[in-house]
Amino acid sequence: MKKNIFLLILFLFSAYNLMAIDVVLPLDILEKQQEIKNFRVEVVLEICTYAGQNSEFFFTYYYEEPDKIYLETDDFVLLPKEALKTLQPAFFQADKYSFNYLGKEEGLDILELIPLDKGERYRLLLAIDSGNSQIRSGELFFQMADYQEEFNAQIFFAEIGGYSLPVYIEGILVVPTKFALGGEVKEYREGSFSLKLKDYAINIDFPANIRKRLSGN
Amino acid sequence: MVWTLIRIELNKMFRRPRTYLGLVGAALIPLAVIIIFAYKDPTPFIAKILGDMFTLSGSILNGYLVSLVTINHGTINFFLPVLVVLVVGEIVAGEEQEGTLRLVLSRPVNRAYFLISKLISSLFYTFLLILIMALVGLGGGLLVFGRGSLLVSGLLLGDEGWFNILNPAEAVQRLLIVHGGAFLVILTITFLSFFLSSILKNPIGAMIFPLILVIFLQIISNFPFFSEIKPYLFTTYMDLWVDLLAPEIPWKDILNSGFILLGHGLFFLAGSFYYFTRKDILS
Repeated sequence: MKKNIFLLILFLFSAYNLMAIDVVLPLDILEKQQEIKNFRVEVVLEICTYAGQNSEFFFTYYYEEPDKIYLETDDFVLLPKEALKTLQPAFFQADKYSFNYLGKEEGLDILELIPLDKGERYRLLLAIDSGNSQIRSGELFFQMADYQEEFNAQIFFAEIGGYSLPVYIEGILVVPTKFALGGEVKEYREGSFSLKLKDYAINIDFPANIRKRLSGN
Repeated sequence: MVWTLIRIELNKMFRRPRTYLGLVGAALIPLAVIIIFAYKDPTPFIAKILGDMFTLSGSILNGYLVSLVTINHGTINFFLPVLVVLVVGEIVAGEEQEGTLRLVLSRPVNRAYFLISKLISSLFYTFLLILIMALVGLGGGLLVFGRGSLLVSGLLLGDEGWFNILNPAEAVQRLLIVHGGAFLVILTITFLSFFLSSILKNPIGAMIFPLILVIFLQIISNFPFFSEIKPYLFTTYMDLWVDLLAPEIPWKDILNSGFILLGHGLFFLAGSFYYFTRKDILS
């Protein structure tokens, strides 16, 4: 009798785990992102550290697999590195993460992605619409430089050409406001940033000059 | 009467080659910055420093950056004072040395009016120095490197300074304010040199002494054990233009520094009038 109960418990436990794996790992959605070989998108970045003072940057972001990036601008662009990462399809490579399924919220599966590389200082929550195989939104928690505080950024996705691509990112970050002569940051100030992304062009032939610049990176 | 005297003084000032030497000197600073930047873009230097947290793409080099870098510690603390004393230091003492002062004042000219006309000419020359620097820096910079956002970094100015990014419209506004701040700082040197020129017979002294004093006070300020006397030295407040580049301008501190500099200036001015109106002009 005891043996049967033990076997029953073992069976239920295994069945629960198997069911859980089925639900929580919609890896096909993440893998689909890897089909993107290249893309181009128009971006507006706004960084605000003080009331009444916003820094705006306008640029075109070119991506080519696996991790080549070129930012085209008439001016200059100062982009938080963590925000830059989230724009790359390679960012969603399933084999880079361990996953935690956090349940359902408003019909969306909430999945936590924790980088396997211990050197990475971020984690990601994704809200996945499993029915439509799309990522709807995400929240990136990250640390910057020597700053111990954890910052976060909200990422909103839209379905573009069958892929889930970020169209708006906003969050909090620290911006250095003073440097010492040696280049080390003496003073930080917290601020907010937002990235608006529009006019995606996916898997296209880039002009020769852009290809050359991408291969130079 | 004062207007006539001012016209005569300006006329006299612009007949002297050293006036043009000073004005050309003021134009040389931004021109040197343009040449240096044409040779080497400062973007990689800043990108390397920001590398841990940010990716910097494109180029920070534009006309606004040229104008900003033109105003730096070396320019404000040393180069501009040299250009100021070159003309202001000899504006009264030079006449006394040449013997023309006695000749002019032997006519029915009010001494105070005479000194006011000299003072206004000195202020005009100081203003011209800043104006030329601003025009050549901004105009030349925009012509050569074009427009863009302004990346403010103390590291480009030889100091720890502020880090800030300004859109083109804000950049113009802020650069004008910074040049205004620089004018206020340099006015103190103008007043000091004018004071010395009014009391000394030898213009060399009125030229050299303000420079020696500024350098000496700057050296003293750098000793940590002299920190108690630092608030009493006018050179301490000569960096007020730096805070005008802060993301959030600390107006209270700037006004405080501005009033202290103006206070020193008025003290030198009062001294000039006090001594000059009572002075025996014997040669």
